[in-house]
Amino acid sequence: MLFLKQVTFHLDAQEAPFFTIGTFFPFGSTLGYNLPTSQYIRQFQPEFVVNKEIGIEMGFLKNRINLEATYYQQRNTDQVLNLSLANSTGFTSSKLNAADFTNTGLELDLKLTPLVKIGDFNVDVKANYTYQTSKVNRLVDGVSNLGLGNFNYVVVGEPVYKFRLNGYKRDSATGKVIVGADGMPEIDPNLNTYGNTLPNNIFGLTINLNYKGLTLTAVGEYRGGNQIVADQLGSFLDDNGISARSAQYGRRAFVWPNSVIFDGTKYVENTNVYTTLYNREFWNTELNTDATTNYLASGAFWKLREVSLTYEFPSKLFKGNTLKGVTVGISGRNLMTWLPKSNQWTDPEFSANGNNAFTGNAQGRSTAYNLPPTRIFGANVIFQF
Amino acid sequence: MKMNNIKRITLALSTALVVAGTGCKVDYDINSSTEDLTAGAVDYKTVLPTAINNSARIIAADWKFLQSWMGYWARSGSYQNVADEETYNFTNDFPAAGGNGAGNPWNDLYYNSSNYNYVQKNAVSNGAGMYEAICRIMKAQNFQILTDVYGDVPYFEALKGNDVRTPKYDKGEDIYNDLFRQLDTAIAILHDADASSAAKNPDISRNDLVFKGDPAKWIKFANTLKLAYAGALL
Repeated sequence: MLFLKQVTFHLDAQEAPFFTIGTFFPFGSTLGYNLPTSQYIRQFQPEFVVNKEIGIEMGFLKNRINLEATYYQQRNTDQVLNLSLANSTGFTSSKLNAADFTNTGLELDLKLTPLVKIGDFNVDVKANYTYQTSKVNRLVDGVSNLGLGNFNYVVVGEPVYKFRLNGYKRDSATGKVIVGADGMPEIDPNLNTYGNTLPNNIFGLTINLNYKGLTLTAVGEYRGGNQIVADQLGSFLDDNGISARSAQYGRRAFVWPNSVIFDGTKYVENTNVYTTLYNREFWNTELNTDATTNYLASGAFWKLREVSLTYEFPSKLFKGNTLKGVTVGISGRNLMTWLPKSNQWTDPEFSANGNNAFTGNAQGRSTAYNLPPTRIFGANVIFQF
Repeated sequence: MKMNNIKRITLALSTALVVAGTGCKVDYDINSSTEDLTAGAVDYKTVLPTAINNSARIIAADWKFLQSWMGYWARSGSYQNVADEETYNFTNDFPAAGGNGAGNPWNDLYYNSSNYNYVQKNAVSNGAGMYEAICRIMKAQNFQILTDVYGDVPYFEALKGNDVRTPKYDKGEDIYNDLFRQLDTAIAILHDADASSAAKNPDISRNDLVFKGDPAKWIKFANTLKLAYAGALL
């Protein structure tokens, strides 16, 4: 028997805001409170998630080949988001039933066990592939995009979490950066939408080689389709002149690549106007560091996550012994990372998410507070009694 | 199956049913916080001292960019801490709060107006005339600064939270005209001996950090503001 009850939460904006104690208060016996900066709506609707899934599982050649495929569509309605409000509303944020979005994805899982079998020699391969995407169907009151902090935005009609960043002013006809008579560009005060912050394609591969008691296992993974912004890390490195970026023109004046200049009547290709600022004066100023597109990089990577080699001594050695078995092994984790050329900054898996300085749902913003990725080597001996 | 087991199962099932059945009737009160400072726990009158204190802080500390432009402040030797101001580098967070040790006057003034607005609304419903008048005067001063610095700003549709999420910008002229009305209303209330009496305005001498609840002084201040506005309109 099952009882169901619909619960509607009532939170009243005018009656239950959370006040904060004002700076310097209590002042003697005088109390002082500030109005909350966040406004709650009168009534929340329940959030709903409807998940549709269709899957197939196939086995061939006495289960030597196994294939699983799943397609899913997840519809999320009335998701509660913390919305930033214009300060002129008297509040800075509000929690609202603000978004409807759909997640769609395909998961493929292929097992070849064994792929090759020659005598005692076995090769097993497991591969999985995930394609995931999402689409924002609606935002509150016909708003077309919402900022969630760390440059992460929800844009209607686009996948969840796009970057919106400041770049340089560009010529609308050619899309090239406009430079002035001093050879320097100007920052476009308007934000533009850039790539996804969440990966679309995830591909994993596990290879297992086995000969008698000797096993070699390697796990690799690819993620791609997303971008990262290493604005803080990058601007720190640019400031100190230790980033590859800041040395790309030999610390000399340069012609801004792919730029156009106004010749009095129209924009023409800039081939000979050198930048007037090119030292730390340029690399450490807002003209460089506030253009966050400078630190936008592909978030794709290939990683060799783990390799291990183990040897299990044959059990016949231990017949009649108290000792039942011995296994020795060595392993290494996070051994190799291959990054695309555009990413000269850091491991894209490290993001502002979960970092004290930049909290929230934001994805893909690498900061200077990230610890560098670590490589781990290990060895183990196992005795069985 | 043994009889004993069956009995046990029946018992367990019926207990489960009773629990499930009564579960629906329990009224979970999880919506009222016992720890946070909610409007029920906070007296609206205690928001006034904070708002006045904020006003003093904003007027003292939020104008660094103007001070640089007007030549009141200059850089010290090669120490360039006012680069944004000197280069007129307006980005969406100018002037960044904390970046130059100064607040953001736009955000601070609107937020503090929200404090005055809250006190004023509650004062009206409680018949506390002094509180209402002080809030009208201080809010008028806030918006005078806003429109003097930024020109056209949201005024008539401002401070409504979720009800108006994109308040429209009003003409400085219309705002000024309404500020005069606000001050006149405040002065009328302050002249009303009953509305501004100590009995109708509990704790006003303590919560009014500026004039200790003296209506005559607030009238003078309101008139001074009117004079200042008139000067600005010349």
